Amino acid sequence: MIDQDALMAALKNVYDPELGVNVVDLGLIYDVEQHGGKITVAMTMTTPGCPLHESMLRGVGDALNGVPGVERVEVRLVWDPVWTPERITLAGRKALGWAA
Amino acid sequence: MSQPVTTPTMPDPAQPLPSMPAGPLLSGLSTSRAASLSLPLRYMVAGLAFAVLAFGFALAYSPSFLGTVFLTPRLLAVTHLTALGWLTMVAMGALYQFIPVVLDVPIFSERLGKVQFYLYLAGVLGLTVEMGTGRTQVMAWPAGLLVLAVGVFLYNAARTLARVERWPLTGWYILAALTSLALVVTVGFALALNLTLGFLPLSQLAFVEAHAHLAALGWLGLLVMGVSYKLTPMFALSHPFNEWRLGRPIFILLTAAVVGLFVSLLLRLGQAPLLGCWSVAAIGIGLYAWDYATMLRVRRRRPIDLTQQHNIAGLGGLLLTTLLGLALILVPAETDLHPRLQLAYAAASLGGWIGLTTLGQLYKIVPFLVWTHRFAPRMGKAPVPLLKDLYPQVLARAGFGALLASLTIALAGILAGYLPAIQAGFGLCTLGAALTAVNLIRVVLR
Repeated sequence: MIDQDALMAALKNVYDPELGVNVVDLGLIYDVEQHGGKITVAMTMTTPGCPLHESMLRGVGDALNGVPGVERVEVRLVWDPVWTPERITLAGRKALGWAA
Repeated sequence: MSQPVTTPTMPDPAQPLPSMPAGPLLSGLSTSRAASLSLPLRYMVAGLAFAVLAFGFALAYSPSFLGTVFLTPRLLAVTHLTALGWLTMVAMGALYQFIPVVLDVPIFSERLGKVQFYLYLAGVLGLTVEMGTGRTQVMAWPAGLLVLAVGVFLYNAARTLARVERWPLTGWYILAALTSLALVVTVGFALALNLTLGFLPLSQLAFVEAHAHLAALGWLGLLVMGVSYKLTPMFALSHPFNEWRLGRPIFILLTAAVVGLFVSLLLRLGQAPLLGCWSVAAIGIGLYAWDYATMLRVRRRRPIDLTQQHNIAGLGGLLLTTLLGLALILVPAETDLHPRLQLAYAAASLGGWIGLTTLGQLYKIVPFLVWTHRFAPRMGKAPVPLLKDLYPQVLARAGFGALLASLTIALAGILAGYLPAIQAGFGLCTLGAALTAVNLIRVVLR
């Protein structure tokens, strides 16, 4: 069993380079599943047609590949449910200047 | 999109990648549609250089702007340096980058795009040199080269757009803008030929005015507005915002106004039809300003970044252009004020509205392109800079401040007919454009 906190910590190193907020605090990560050494991530983007989506998906995969014990990573881009700003964590909101 | 695909690891030209386990399996992701770095960037770098040139020549030629004759060859040269060299050059590069991402189709032929760049560059240089030196009789040659270059661009765009399966709102604006561009170059070429052959049945000035409105509102204007409907909510995290609610009626109003203005100006239909078309355009522009304000009001990313500052200033330029347009219809053409209004109208629309907006968008597009190719391969493996870290913010803000202040001074000088203010304004504009160009070209060289 790979430490889930280690996986989330790795994901927090992947930033949206435009917004300056990591993918976890942006609420883009919908699910992280483990099956032995294989990790499956379901994630979304803030909007379809986001020009950064390919880079971010790859970044998420590469970040998880660096966690000890991970043998294989699959990153799935999903659009259901649709992302909304309500998914942004408090830390993310503070980084965006949106405290409410 | 439904089958998982393993995409190849992108090479990093700057630094070798550390060895890693097998790459991630990415699904829900089609193969990369983005254009190569060099295709859009060459247009943007050239466009930035032309922005500096355009303001520099506006400064050098400004004493001729206050004469009794409005459409001098020198003014035409500055106008085309701005509209073709700067704004259309950047617009073409931006579309080569933007269309694949937003409309989810690859560019039909990048090779055609690269060939077209050199044809277009030669055409712009040739046309503006012939205009600036007053050799208007031979303008048809470089104008022909421009028609060829734009024809290649439109062919490439048409073959690309033919593959689009789902049309977002921005796509419709792009389609209308490209249609306008086709007509703009056709009329422009006819004007250039007419200087030698004299075959046009209507007033040359009527053709020039129709041509200019089609270029500013139909081609560049619709493009800038359509792109803003995608980029502004995306960068500002505007939620909730329905782009179709006002975006669709605005599109209908503005395309109707473009057609109406073109026909009214070309056929010299008189004041009443012009006022009617102006009213339709003004309603569309007013609704657009309201919708833009809504995008900002509901944004979740609170700080107004540099691009949004440019866009807000550009929107101010659009509203000023609209008011100047009304003044142009109401003030009799025989008065001394009329040519100054015409000049201010052109400067407010091309420099104030489209120009500032375009430069603002470049502060997103250029760092994004460079980041994607230089730093994205390292994301998740090592710390990478943010987009805003790729250029000094101080220099960027200085360039924007200089441009905004100088355009205001230049416009006030034009309306007052006060040459020192015009010269000070265009001098400072040259400095502001140079600061922006240096800042962005340094990003490219990273």
